[in-house]
Amino acid sequence: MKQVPKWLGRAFFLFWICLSCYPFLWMFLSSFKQNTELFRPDRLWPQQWDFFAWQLLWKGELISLKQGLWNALYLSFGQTFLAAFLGYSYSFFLYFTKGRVKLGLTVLAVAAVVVPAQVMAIPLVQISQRLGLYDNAWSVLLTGGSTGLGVLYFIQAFKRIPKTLLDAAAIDGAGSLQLYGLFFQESKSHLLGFLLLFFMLCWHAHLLPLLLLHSEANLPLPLSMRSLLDSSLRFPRAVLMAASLFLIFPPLIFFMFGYRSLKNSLGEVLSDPDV
Amino acid sequence: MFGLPWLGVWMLFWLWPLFEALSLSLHKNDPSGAGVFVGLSNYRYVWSDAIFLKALSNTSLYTLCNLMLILPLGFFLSAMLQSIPKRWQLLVSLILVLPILTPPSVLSWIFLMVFHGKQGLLNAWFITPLFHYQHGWLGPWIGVKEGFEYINWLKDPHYIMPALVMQASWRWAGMVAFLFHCAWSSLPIEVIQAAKLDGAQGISLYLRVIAPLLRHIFAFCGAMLIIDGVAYFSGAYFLLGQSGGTGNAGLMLVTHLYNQGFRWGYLGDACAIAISLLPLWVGLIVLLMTIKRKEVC
Repeated sequence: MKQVPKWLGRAFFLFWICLSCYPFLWMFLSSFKQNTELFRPDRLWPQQWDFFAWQLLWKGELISLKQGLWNALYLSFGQTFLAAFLGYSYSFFLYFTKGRVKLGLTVLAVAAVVVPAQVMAIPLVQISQRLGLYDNAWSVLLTGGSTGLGVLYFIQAFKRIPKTLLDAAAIDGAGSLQLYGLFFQESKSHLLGFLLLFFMLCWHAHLLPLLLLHSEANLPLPLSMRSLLDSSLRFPRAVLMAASLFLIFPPLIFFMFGYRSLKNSLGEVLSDPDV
Repeated sequence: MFGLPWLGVWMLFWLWPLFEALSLSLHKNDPSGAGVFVGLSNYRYVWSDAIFLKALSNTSLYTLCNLMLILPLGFFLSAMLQSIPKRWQLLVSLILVLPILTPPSVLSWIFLMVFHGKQGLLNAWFITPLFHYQHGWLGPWIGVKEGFEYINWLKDPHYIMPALVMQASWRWAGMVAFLFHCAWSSLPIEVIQAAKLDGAQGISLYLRVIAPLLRHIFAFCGAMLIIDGVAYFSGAYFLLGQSGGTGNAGLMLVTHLYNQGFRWGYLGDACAIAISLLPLWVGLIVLLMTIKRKEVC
């Protein structure tokens, strides 16, 4: 097979890295620009550094940064921990189930992954209203928590627990709760991997909060920013740029600190041909 | 006891809404009248609606283009990531996944600047310098149409879909590369060394040895891209608005569903659209999994 020069591949890789970085660099620098300058994306550096957007954001005059950020974190963490707890427990239950019952119960989780919330968008709003959960964070948390992703992830993770360990625990007379704890000990890194991955997914999922939440006090930051965008063309867009940076940092920080764990955990789970 | 919490939440927030969606799709639920059973009439209307068919073809094309572009691109980026020293891999991985870590609303704001008119980055840096009919490096040589200066990415219906696919490729390629990198790192080193001893190197090593070893990751990422493609909403919604752009060229199925249900109040039609999506969605994923199983066997 004909070889492609190495430098060409490296040049393209470098180009892609720049392509991944540039918009963020532009966004950061744009948070110091006036509107007239901001609509020139080919100009990277601000002509005059202006910190007004950061001051406005900090004072909470245009959008409530602290409230929006807190809501976004609360919704994402809440969905993540709920999905992890429910998925982990259900997979633990499936581990000790056998035959067609196990297959049938696993299919339920697969169905929950394959059929997304978009299909149920309208009934979800109606059901939340009937349950008195409309405009309540719990409607988003419970809907997000019912994902099948956690179940499928932990089914794979539990396959890596050595059978000898379980046999030893059974000989020692370990009950269900002790085994639950033992599984937790053995799959800690996978659990961390799932928490990181699912947090990132929840951080981006805007449809559920858009449908199920209404009042400004409950909206996560991206949806509060949307109302700002709709308000007027004259509002300082640099505020939007500064607020957007706050949305990038949380998942970035988690990714950075959990990189090794995420890489190992995903590597193990994804390497299994049954995934 | 351990299985009940998930089953309970699943029934309440997945099974019940699914049955409700099915029931709503069989009833007349629009602003003029509610709750009358109309059988499959909503489905007949939806499947004869030109806008729905346009949204369906847009979504299928978008998903297919994403699969064909992002999987090879992600594999290539992962190969390059694998070849750099380990101490740099964290930083480079971080840069590669930066686009996927960014919320779609922010991404669309960024891309508005990339595609926006004459001064958008893509036109200012690539299209005009390369293809301007008079001053471009290549334009005069390849016979570009007279008067061509730049591409109106968000207004010209021929270029709206390429713009959306470019946005998706930029967003997903790095994440797919990271997933390949995770699985690649846990491949048995002996197999790769044996292949190298047998003379496999360069592109043939990647395509004939490593790619087959990672075929289940291709299937996993493919399924992920299909789910994201069919459910694609935020990016197009923020970038093009509710209309889906000129001539509905960027109208996606979920945007159409959102418009029907939440903007115009035709709940029955919206649910019929949602239920109509299911066979497409499940069919594509089952097809992908069947291909994968056959390969594994």
